[in-house]
Amino acid sequence: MGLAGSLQQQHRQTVLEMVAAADGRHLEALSLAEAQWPSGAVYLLGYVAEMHLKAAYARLVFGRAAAIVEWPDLVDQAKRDPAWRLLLTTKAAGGVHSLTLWKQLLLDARARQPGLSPLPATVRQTSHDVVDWLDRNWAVELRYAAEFATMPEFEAMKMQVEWLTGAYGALVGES
Amino acid sequence: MPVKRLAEVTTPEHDDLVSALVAEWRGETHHAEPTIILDEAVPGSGPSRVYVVWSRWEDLSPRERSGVIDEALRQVESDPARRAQVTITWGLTPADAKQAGLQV
Repeated sequence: MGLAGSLQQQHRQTVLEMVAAADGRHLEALSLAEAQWPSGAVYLLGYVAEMHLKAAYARLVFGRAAAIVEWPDLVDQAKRDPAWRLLLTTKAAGGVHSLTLWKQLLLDARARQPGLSPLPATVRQTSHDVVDWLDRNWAVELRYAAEFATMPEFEAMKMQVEWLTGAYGALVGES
Repeated sequence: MPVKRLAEVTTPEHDDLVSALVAEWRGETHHAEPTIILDEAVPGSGPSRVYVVWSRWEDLSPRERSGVIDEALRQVESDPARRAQVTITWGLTPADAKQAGLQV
């Protein structure tokens, strides 16, 4: 069985497993950089950011870290929530890889979560700044570029992504 | 060698789009577009979403569209606390809005 087929069988993934997968890609990005492959490292780091944003959103929507992320349920949610409908059906939404749109969905879910204290203003503002920086400097389409990043650019990307991964607890209200 | 950006920083139209959106938002102009849709859980309080339907979004990325709306919001809403309640600022073309079933 191919790896992709295996993945489809394991589709029922928990939020914790999503975060663990993101952490795995993070370590692989660091290894690429250590081997002086900054473009591959930057490319993977973009996915690390995307996966953390999605995991944090799923954590809020499904209520606990051990919850199984049923993406079809989220598709059903699109039928009820105009923001989700827009994300999934429109070109404007930029597909499901737009870091800006996932950040907005995450902050929206955080604000609507009953029982959670408001997100500290500094965390909210830094989330805006970091994701804006990342969205300016990473896109899925970079896979078509042969060499596009330098080691200083990798270091800059790493700093932004690591702020985001470090803020996971605050974003989901666990710290 | 200076560190370069990996992607385009901002659209040259950014300032023009912000000015046009602010004028429409304040009611200083009354064009057919853009259409500004406020989706408030509880009017005047709680999180709210802003959707702007506009043909001029066509060639802009989601980040650029949201950046224009965010900047316009800063100009029309002086209260930082109220601005912070806006969680989603999405720009849609009329075709996007129609495809998503958004009533304009």
